[in-house]
Amino acid sequence: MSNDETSQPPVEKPRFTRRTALKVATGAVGAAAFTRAMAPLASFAGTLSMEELLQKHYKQLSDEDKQRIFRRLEAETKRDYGADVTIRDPQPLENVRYGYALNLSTCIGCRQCAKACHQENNHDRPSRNAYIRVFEMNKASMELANATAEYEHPVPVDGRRYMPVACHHCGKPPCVDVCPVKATWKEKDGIVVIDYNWCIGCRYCEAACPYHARRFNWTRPEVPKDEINPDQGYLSNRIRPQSVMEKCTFCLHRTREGRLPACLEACPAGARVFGNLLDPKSEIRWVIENKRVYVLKEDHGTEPSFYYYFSE
Amino acid sequence: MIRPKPPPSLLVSHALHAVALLGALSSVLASGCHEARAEDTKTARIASPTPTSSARDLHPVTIHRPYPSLGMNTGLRDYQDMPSRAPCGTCHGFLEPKEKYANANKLEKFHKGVEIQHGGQSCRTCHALPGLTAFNLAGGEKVPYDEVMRLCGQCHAQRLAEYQHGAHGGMTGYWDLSRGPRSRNHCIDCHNPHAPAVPRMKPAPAPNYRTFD
Repeated sequence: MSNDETSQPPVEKPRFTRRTALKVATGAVGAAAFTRAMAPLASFAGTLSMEELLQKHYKQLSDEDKQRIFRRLEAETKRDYGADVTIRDPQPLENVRYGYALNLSTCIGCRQCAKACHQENNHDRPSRNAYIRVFEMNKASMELANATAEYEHPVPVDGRRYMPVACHHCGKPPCVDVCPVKATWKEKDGIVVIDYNWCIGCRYCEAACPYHARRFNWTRPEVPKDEINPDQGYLSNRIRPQSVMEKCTFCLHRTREGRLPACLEACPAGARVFGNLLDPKSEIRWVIENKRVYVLKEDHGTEPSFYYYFSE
Repeated sequence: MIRPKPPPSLLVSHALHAVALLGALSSVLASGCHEARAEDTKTARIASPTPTSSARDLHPVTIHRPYPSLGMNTGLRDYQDMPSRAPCGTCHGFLEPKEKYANANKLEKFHKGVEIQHGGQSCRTCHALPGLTAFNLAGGEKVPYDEVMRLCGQCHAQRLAEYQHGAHGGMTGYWDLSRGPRSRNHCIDCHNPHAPAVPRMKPAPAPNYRTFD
């Protein structure tokens, strides 16, 4: 047997067969088609670095990762907006759960809170976006269905009531439940936050929120260099990328350092009360225990941390 | 722009203005920094009888000290181009008012333009002589300018209670007093005591993103 095999003359294989040629040709066509098909992605991801693409979820980041990411985001802000900013990540305080109350008897609807929010949180200037929307409604019926947020006349108008609405930082936030990628969650101090770099922009949360407190960045935010607030938090007021959701964070870059939120400091009517719900001597607890208090859309079972009260 | 020379009739106003300036200056000199701080803490005690925490090393809550809002128009303008007024005490520190319980709106000769729209009260319902710089409580007690909240609180007791618990009135600073101080508005930062109705104001522009239809 072996002799027979060895005795046969060796068949010389051709070095380049028709089969190989076909393989090479189809491979080349396939590669070209793939490149062609992926071309829009290349232009879409023009400024997306590989590092950003591979960035992990916020909760999986180590402290070194965070520092590296914050420095990168600062450099990107410098490159894209020309502003020197500092991005920090203040952590929740111990034994603190934030609550906010608003006096509907004294609010005059001047929108100074929304203006302060707009500036503090580096919102897109052309859209005049803010996390707070002020509704004007009938004073007696307080019917939200007939309310408007687009009034421009001098305020306050007799017989009208004004109700600023922002994120209520619900105890059972429906926006968190619907997020398909867990890009939004509730922190232990009660603040509902978004990892803007993890959000895929599907807007499920916007649809789920009964207070319409979430906003979508339809465009890349335009903020003049001189108007950028340089004191920024990773989970709060840093300039958001295009195509992600954003929302009120109780100004966590301020409040987690003990400061009052920007909207409260701006309120000329003194209608806003902010504090720690766990401190029995706090102002917010006094309001809840002593005033006529209610939460918006209580029947939804969202258990808001935002309370409306009356002093009349 | 060169300001025209004031007519002779305004010379009286000039004199008033000068006296007012002197008065303000002397009061500033008299109350040193230390004294002013002591006054601040006193008002703070009025403002917040219940401290927000039992910790001892809390930062202070200070209350802004506003300047008197009413006075005789001098016809002059200050360095910010605002109408300059002489406080009532400039003259009434040594001059008794002729009519003790006059309503200021009826003063016609010299006091034109001094208007009060606050429940039709006379000057002396609240202000004490001499000087109109101290105040009468209903029980006859006189309170200094810095404690005027006690006077307001006689009628507006519910507002005062809310204020004392941080549920009325604007503030800036820290919600957590163990981390930093807080500064609070005075009643008359927002409410003109002589015409307390809040004037209408133009709101900040509305957003132009899509909202509910």
